[in-house]
Amino acid sequence: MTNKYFIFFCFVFFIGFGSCASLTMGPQQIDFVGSGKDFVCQEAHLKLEGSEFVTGEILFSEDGFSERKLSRHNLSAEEVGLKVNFPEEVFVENKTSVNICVKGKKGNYHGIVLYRMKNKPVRVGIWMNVSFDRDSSLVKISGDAVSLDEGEFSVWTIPLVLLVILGLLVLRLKFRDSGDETCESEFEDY
Amino acid sequence: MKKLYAFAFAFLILGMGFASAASTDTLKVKTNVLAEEVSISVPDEIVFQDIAPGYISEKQEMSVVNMGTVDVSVSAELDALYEGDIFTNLGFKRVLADELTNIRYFDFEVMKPTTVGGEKSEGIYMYLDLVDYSGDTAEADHSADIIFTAVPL
Repeated sequence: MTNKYFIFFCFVFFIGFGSCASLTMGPQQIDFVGSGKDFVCQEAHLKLEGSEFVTGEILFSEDGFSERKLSRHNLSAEEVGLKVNFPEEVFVENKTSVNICVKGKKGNYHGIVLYRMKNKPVRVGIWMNVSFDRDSSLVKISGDAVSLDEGEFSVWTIPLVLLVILGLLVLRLKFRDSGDETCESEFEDY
Repeated sequence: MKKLYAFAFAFLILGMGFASAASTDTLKVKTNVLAEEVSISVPDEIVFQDIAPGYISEKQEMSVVNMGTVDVSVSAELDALYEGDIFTNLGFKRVLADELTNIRYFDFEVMKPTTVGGEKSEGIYMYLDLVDYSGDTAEADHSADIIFTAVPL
């Protein structure tokens, strides 16, 4: 009878020591909204017991797919036309924040940020929504001219258009002045 | 004298109670709302008993624990560095009555714990199915790393 108790306690004792790997990441989703010309950054946090190295990767889905299905997210940032900046290897001590930055061409993208404990069987991920709209507020003023993907062109378009308008106004004013002078002289003559 | 002290003490206690009730006319409510987190825990190692080609292993039970605050979908995959072929025959079942699903296609859901800071575990069964295996049959120890990935539902 005593032996049975002993075996039971040994069993419970060893269950307690059964090693597990755990990793925490949050929040569950991060959104990147902007023009896409400059890096848009968001913060995520990683937590684990003790300290450990973790390795990260970011994957995206094909254009137009925004369901939360991991197996459909298998494209790199370059493959979808984005540039991402994030720490690929992080030393996590209890809780650590990671900064994730994205920039790229106009469009909506759905991705996942994954971090795995080095040499451990656990990996966690959080979803990322990217929405880059190059037009932003300028589209209402100048229409299609600034909706082109090449931002350099749009920067010069507005000043050029304004210069042309200014030139036309100056010319018109000049013509009007000269016209008035002619009328005045004619009137005087009369 | 003792009675006097006892009365004085009782009045003091009573007075303190009234004082604390009278000093505030509102009830302050405080809480700490935690950020949403994805968090899982899986065992480090699973050991199958001896097995030969043409057989299926005994089931190995394992639990994946959701310790976060969101429901998660968990999938399993072999480490990309694994070059052998024995463990490509790993299969999983959620319940014993299920058909065996190969590791490539297996995923399951683990709901969030019912209380914050709690745990919700989901048990699964793992098998090594070598019934149709025709690869390397030399007697040797084999091992591979499996990665369990949790993403929010």
